[in-house]
Amino acid sequence: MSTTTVRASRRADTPAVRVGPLARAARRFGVRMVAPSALLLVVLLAIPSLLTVAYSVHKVPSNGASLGEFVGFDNFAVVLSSPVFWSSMRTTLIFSAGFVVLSTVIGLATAVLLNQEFVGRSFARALLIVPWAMPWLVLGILWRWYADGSVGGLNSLLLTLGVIDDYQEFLADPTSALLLTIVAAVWRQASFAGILFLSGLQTLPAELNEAAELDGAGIWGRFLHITLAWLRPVLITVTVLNVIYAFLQFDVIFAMTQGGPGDATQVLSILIYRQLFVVTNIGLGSALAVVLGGLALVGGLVTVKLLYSSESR
Amino acid sequence: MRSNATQRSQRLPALGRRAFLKASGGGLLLAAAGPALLSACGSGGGSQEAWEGPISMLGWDFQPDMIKQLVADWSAESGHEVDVAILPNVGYSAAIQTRLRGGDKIDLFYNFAYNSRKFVEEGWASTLNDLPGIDDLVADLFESSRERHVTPEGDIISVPYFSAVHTLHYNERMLQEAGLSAPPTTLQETYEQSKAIADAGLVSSPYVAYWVKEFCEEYLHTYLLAEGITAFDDDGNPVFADDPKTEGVFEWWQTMYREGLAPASVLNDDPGKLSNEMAQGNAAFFVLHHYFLTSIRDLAGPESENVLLAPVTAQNHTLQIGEVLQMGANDNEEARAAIWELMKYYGWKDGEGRYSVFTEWAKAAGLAAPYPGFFTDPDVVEAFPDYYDLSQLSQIFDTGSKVVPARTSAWYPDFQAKVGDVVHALLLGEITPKDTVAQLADAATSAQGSGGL
Amino acid sequence: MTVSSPAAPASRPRPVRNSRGGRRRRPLVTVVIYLGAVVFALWVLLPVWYLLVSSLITPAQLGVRPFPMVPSSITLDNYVSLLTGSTGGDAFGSTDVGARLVPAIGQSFLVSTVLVVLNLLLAGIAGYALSRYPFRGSRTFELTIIASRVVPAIAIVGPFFVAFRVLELLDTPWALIISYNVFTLPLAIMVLKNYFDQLPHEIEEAASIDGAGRLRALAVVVLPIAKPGIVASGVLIFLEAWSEFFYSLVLTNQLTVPPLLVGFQSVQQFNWNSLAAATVLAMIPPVLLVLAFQRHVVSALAAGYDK
Repeated sequence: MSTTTVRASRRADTPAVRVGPLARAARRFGVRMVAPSALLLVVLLAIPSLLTVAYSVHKVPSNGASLGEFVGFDNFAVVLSSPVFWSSMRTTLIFSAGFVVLSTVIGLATAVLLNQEFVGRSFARALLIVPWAMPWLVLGILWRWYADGSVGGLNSLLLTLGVIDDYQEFLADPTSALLLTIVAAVWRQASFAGILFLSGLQTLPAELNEAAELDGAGIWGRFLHITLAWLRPVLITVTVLNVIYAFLQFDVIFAMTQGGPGDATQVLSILIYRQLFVVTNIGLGSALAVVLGGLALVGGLVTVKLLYSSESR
Repeated sequence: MRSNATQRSQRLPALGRRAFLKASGGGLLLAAAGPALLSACGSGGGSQEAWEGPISMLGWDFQPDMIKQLVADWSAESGHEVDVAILPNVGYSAAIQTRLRGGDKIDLFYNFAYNSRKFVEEGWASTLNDLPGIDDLVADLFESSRERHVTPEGDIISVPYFSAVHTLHYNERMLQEAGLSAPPTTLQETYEQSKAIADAGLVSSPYVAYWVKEFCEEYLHTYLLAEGITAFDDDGNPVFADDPKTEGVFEWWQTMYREGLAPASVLNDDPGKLSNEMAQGNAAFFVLHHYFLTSIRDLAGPESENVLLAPVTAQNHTLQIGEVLQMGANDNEEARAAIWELMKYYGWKDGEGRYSVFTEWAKAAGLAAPYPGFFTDPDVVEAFPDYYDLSQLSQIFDTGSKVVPARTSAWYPDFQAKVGDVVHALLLGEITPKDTVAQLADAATSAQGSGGL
Repeated sequence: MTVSSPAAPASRPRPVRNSRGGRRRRPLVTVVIYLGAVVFALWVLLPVWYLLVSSLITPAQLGVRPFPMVPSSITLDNYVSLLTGSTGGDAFGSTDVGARLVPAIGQSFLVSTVLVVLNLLLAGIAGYALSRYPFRGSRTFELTIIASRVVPAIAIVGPFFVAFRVLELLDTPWALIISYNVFTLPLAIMVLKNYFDQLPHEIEEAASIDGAGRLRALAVVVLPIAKPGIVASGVLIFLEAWSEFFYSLVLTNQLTVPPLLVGFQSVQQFNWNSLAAATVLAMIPPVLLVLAFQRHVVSALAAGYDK
């Protein structure tokens, strides 16, 4: 009683390469169905992205009149030789690690919880949607007030719980400011993860659990071998998405701290915003964007790799 | 009076068939236009053909209904149609620059003074020197304000949208209770009085200010000017770094924060909260634009009535700020003439020679205009609530404040963006006042050079 | 409201589907579940409650320490001034926001709804094909889809502006409907492909599959079973579009809700209580909508595997 059962009943996995005219027709059908989305994405994403890459190797004039002078990798050299970049890189990695782990774990825990029968479950499920319905930027403003040292709700909560002895100025302290931007962003992202996990759980055939229970598997064993095994594809998707959202996160931090205090929450996307939209150094900003995109890509791939290899364990 | 909504419904027949066809064709066109996008389509637009209007105007979201009302009044009088679009203040700079880069034509727009010269240099805004009556407008300005609108080379790049001076909002009752007879006259005295008020147990952190990253730059100048330090010379060199008093200013600043005379939260607090802290009696001093007195009084807290205005320091100067109106690049004479009429009305006087638009802003929020005549205009005097001492305010504008001309330089936004990082590091105790001087000077030099992160 | 009310006695005991809740749980497990539910509810609700309370009190009450989680008195002034434009005071007017908020909610609704329909259609067939009819390069395509999400959206807004200016689509819902595909379409494809993978193959295999029959098999046989996943992705897309700020800022003039909400913070004026009230108003429509669909999700689930 373990993953094998789950896998067998879930799907015939990727259908074995089929041959013959019927199979060819099936493949053609596949291509045709994917084509509209592929075309749209090429137009909407590939072209502007290539443009960004082109900008990154030019000294682009602010007024957008031309592509400007080709400067090779000069912009990247400026980026990589700047201590501001490396300190921001560190912040980005810390933020991302916290964000990915917390939003995945909380999302999963929430989904498992909301998949149980209990009085008020449909209310709780409705609650799951609420954070996802709040714009990132507004969420940032809300959490800035919520975490405020004199009029915020968080302080009065923690004081009541006895976690703190006195009102704290969380956002004025570099460490807790970073922590709070993570928590605020996780507040929304965990609900996203939870929704996806929950819809994945709802396809889990009840018989699997029953059979396992009859076999004497405990709660933890059932969670590990049935639930988690069943959710693995969703888990991979959600984690990868969380990784990407983490690296690209901008609005929450922008609204909560503007990257401050000091440079405590200055993630790369804040630097990109500054170069592209404040200083309008488009070449440099694009180079940063390429670096960040690359970073997110590597992060995503590593995640896929890790999760897939843990599958074959 | 055309509201945004009605304009919208006229301009786009919701999701009609035409729009749909356009939209679906759009994808393909976008693909075809790929190479053209590389040059970002900086199309000049037809210049000398007959101009039909309407005038397009872009402003940020402060009392948008008032903006539209004022503009509609002008439209009715002049017969020129105006399309008013509003964007939020947060992200305004990003949005307008992206739009202008993308070849958008905006005839008249609000702008931050620190962007104004850059916009002219990028060809997004035009100079106003050739327009009829511009010299009278410039002559009407406070002498102290002129450098914001006229470059050292003599180019007139903008007219005022509104102006304000950094002042000290103080709680008179608390001062008296702490045995202080008058508000502080130097930064040193500000420190001592804050300490006295804290020691008297009136409030633990008496001094508040809008020290968020984005605004540290205004305070940098406010405090440097308070000590009589020149920040930049005419060539934009960071001469503050050579002034021995500069380090003292940063020491003072750091001390105010490190000793808790300013609450730890000021690194994030917005002015709405700070005004409320004054109104509720949780702070005794608040340095920011003069018109926050209106907010504090309107909040009607227990201490609102006791809050008065004073100069930041008695000697030397304070920072005078002002946001501006600029005319988009346009070589159609007829259009320019019409836009200019609107600009004069909105940024100076109406056809009858009254400061009617500014009077409304004064009424609405205590905003000021950088014209001496404004402060003596009977309508304006009537419009300002009694708690403003207009002669004092006028005097601060006239002789007690400077605009720091470097703030409109094209390189300035780059420097401005970095000040917050450095000052926050100072306040958090991560760097010394000495380092702060050096890092800010570096930031200014690099902003004028190649830039960098 | 009975749909969501936790303790409403009226809500009939759901006919418990055979196994999942039918077995008796150990008391300890029950305790853990309820404890977890309470923690979860607090985690979500406390910030929202703070928002709600902030919108119902005066600035003076906001200054009270500790924050009055249960305020001694409440006022609707913030809402009234928002919706009518009368602010009481002469100056602190956020004035015609009410007049602008309602149309913005309408536009947000329009943009999000059209996008959901469009995306579910496109991503539905694409995700289905990727799951059931893989072709040479389909795996690469999937990876590309995931990879496409790593493009920092703020970096590519410029070309969109130029394109929409040329096409005269600026400040129209279409500008957003088209550009939002950048965020939502890859997301939808990924989620739906994943979901289809989890549905047992036998379902369609039972139905005869020949050329023209494939799409029908999808529509008639697969769709009803895939409802929870489709509804979930629909909700995700809807709210992603509902919440988007930056593209709406650049490509339109406060057409949708987020740029309008953010307009409350200006150089000259800040008022948390009003912003809180506006945020609450702006959140009502999506939450209501989702509540409606929530029920749908539950019933779709009940129709699940037994059939």
